[in-house]
Amino acid sequence: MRENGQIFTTDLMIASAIFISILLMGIVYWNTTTNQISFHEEANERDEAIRYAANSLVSTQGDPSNWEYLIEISEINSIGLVSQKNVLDQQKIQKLIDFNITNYEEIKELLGITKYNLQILFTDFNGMVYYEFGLAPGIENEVSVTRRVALLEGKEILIKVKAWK
Amino acid sequence: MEVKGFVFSLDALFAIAIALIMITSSSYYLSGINENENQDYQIKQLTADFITVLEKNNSLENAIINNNSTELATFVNTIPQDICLNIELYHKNDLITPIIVVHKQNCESNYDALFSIKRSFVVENQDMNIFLAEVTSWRNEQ
Repeated sequence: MRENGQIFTTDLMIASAIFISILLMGIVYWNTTTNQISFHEEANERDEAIRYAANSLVSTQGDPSNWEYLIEISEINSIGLVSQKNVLDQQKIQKLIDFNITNYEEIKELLGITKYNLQILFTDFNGMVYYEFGLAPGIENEVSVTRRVALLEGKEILIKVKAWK
Repeated sequence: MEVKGFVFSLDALFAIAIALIMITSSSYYLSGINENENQDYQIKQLTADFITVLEKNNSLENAIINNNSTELATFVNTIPQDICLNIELYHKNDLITPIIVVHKQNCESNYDALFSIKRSFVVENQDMNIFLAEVTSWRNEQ
């Protein structure tokens, strides 16, 4: 009887150890996977937001199409920076830059990026910055970046849209 | 009794092995979620931008009129370093042999992820004036 009991106890201990280690592994794995998925979901959501914003900037004139001449930002329904697809309008860019100091939050809202901080850079292919809108991200931030190419007065311009929390 | 116990242990071992294999394989697949999705989308979008820009600044037309690829080559070699680009121009009557071919320097083809966009364009002072531009791009992994 005693021997049987000992065998049973050892057996139970081994089974419990295996069970607990598998359970622990499962919990750790579940936790890691959940974190990974939420990280990717957040990044995807951010990526999608800036893609939409960048597309609006290089593919549309904005609404109304002469929004750069309006004084009140409340009269603007959407922001676009081109006169025709991929051809930038300097006056529209200048107006966007002018709004940087006074209406940064409203511009983010018009571009559908209220949840994030925003930076838009207009550079040449060598990285020389011509225009800059918004804030610069810190090194510690997870930043989503999307790039588009358009013409500004016949020159190829790289437009970088960056968003982060 | 002993045999029964042995069978049960073997059964448990199989179950544990299967559970571990499932956890490991799902972890492998989940670790690769969407890593390249945004990069791939960006390359596609940039490829479309490149061809639009080349069309709008008349580089495609100039290459045909002057039978000279210098302007296209300059463009291709100044685009961001992480992107490789090929441009091929065809006449509408021969879509097999390109008239002009431009490759970005120091780029080897990555056949796993090539994006290609074709666009027709018109050259006004040519008789048979419809041409086709094919722009192919991929990530530069060098």
